[in-house]
Amino acid sequence: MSFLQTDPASCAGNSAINKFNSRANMDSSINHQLQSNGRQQLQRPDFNKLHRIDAGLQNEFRDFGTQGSFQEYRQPSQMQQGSLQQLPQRGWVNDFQKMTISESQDQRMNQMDQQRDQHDQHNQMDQHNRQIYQHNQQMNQANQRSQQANVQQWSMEFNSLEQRQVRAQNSDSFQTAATKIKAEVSPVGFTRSYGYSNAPYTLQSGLQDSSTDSEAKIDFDSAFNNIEKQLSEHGNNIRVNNSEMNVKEKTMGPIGEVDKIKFAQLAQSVFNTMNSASPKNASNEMNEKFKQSKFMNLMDRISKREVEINDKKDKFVDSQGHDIRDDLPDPLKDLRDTDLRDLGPYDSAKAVHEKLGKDLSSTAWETTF
Amino acid sequence: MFAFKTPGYNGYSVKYSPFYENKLAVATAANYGLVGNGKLWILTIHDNGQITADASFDTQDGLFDVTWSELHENHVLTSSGDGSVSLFDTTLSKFPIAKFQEHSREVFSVCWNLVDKTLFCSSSWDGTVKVWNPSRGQSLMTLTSAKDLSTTAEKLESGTLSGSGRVPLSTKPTTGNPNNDCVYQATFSPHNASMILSVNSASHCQLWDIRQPNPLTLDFISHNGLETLACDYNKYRSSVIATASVDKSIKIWDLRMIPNINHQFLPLGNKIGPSPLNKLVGHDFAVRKVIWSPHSSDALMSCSYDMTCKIWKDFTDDKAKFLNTANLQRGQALVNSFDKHREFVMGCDWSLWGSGFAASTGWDEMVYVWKAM
Repeated sequence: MSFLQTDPASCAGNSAINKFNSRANMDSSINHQLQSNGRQQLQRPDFNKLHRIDAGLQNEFRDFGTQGSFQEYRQPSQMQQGSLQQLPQRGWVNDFQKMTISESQDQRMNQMDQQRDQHDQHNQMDQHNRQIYQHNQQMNQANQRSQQANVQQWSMEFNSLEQRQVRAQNSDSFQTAATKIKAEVSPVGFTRSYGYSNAPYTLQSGLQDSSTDSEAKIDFDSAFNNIEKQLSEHGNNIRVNNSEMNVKEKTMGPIGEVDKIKFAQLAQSVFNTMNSASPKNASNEMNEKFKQSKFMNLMDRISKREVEINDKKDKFVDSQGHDIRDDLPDPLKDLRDTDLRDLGPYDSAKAVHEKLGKDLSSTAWETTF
Repeated sequence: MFAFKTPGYNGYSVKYSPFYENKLAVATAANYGLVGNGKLWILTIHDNGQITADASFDTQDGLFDVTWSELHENHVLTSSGDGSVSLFDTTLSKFPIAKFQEHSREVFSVCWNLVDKTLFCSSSWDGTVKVWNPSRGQSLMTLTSAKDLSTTAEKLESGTLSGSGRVPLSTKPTTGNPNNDCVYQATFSPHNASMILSVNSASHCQLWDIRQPNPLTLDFISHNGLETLACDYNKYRSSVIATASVDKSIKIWDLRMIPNINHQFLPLGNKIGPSPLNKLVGHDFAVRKVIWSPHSSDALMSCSYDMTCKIWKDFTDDKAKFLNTANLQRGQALVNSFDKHREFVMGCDWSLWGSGFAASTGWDEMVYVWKAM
């Protein structure tokens, strides 16, 4: 049997139907839960459950807790005002009692005594309330102080944790960036300029959120010093000149004789395929194009081993080891650049004409369209 | 016709700028892309017909494709033989501003998303298609088809590409890609930001939806087992595509006619895939690239190993879908042919402003701008 049930029938023994009804009618909606939670939050813990607290006093206490110390001075004055308001009422009662006859006078005296007792009790209750109020206030202050201390402690812990994480993150990201730079600046010979052009990009992405923590700085400096040492060790293999952009990034071993033979055979097959695969209805112009094709000529030369890939696998070289692309026509190769440096376009053209004269023709570098 | 020579470098791809009507980007490689470095050329076409090089960038390996950024008028993307994709700023010199390195083999194509301009995709001989964001160094997604793509090519006629009947494959298989299905081209749809079309050496044409957990949506054999080298979306008809192959033909497909990969309803005897809308025959050698016109829904351009560029008209329409016999006759759809190149023509592009103008580049170290239609 539960004292909390409001059903009058519950005074008797509990029945299964009552229990079922209560459970079925129980409001388990979210609104109800929110309201019940709100009501629970409003209810403050009472140190004396049987003590009935004045609602006005309770509100004042709540206001005091939220507003501040100024209320502290207002509360006693309000209480004093409350007690002052009662005095004129008691004076009227006394006067009225004096106007009565003797029997009633005794009764009046008794009533006055009772009222006096009640007043004394009321005063005692006020004092008790005040004590409780002060006690609550002290507890509140203590709670606030402890909460502030907790908050400070929590924020300190969080900050230190965050700093630790940032430190670890920065060291990791810098390590990955440092390994990237190491990979790019390999002993084989990747151009320094190209490596550095990528390095700031990767470095920026890795260190974008870097903190100014001293430990991260120390890690940064040490890693940077290591990279500088590696660069100085491999400095002979790294060239800044733009003409060295032809150097390959990957480590490649020298091409073997077997590979060269295979490549020559492949070129032979391509040459034969393209030569023999001309369709019957292909135009003579197209056949002529194929016969004059430089690509077909290259395939033919490769198949005959007149042209091979060099050991670095970055260009074709002839039997003398010269790059086949060095044979590009340069009609001005006999002229020194310094001769034309200070001249304008017209004067330069005039100087060239005077030197080369009839030997120079635009067909040397132009293709007929 | 205007011309420009790229001495020492053989052209692989040419693209008009989407921001400037007279600007071209040309991707070139030394020694026909076999060995050596590469060079990116930024060309300007002047009013007097002269073409000059505003800027050039040397690269470590040969460049196979180029595409302009849709976000920034000075940014250009290139794909390289060393597996990297580089982003250049034409106002800066020498070096790229970003490099994207994830592919393990040559990157053969790059394509900027025309709808969602923050994405671009790349396709590689390692068999993968990757989707990227230019502000992020790592790829957003890698598309790989898991199914076994090995197919048996039909026997070739004698006197065609290879007398022995074997498919001439241009790459060798790797341990990571035993099926040898290198992806030759991947392109974003100009109608849907999430759709990618790709073609590979196993003759497969694949449609990817990058929003799906399993992106592969369509997968069909496009050219009877022979290598499919190029693909492109029609700019006006969202479901129509074109593919080009080593079988010297260009096929036009309607993707709505191709069964979904999860609902394969092809008859048992059909081992060669669905039927195309149209088949354009006219090239004498493998067709290297095909591009639909941005100004016309039925015009497309192709460039080939027969050293020519050809302009075609696709006469198929919805009403004539089943009347294929009339359209399959040789030469009917051919509108124009450009034969000034003296080597293989590897790249071509339509001008976005000058209606009917086109640019092409080839292994003869030449870039031509000519009137196509």
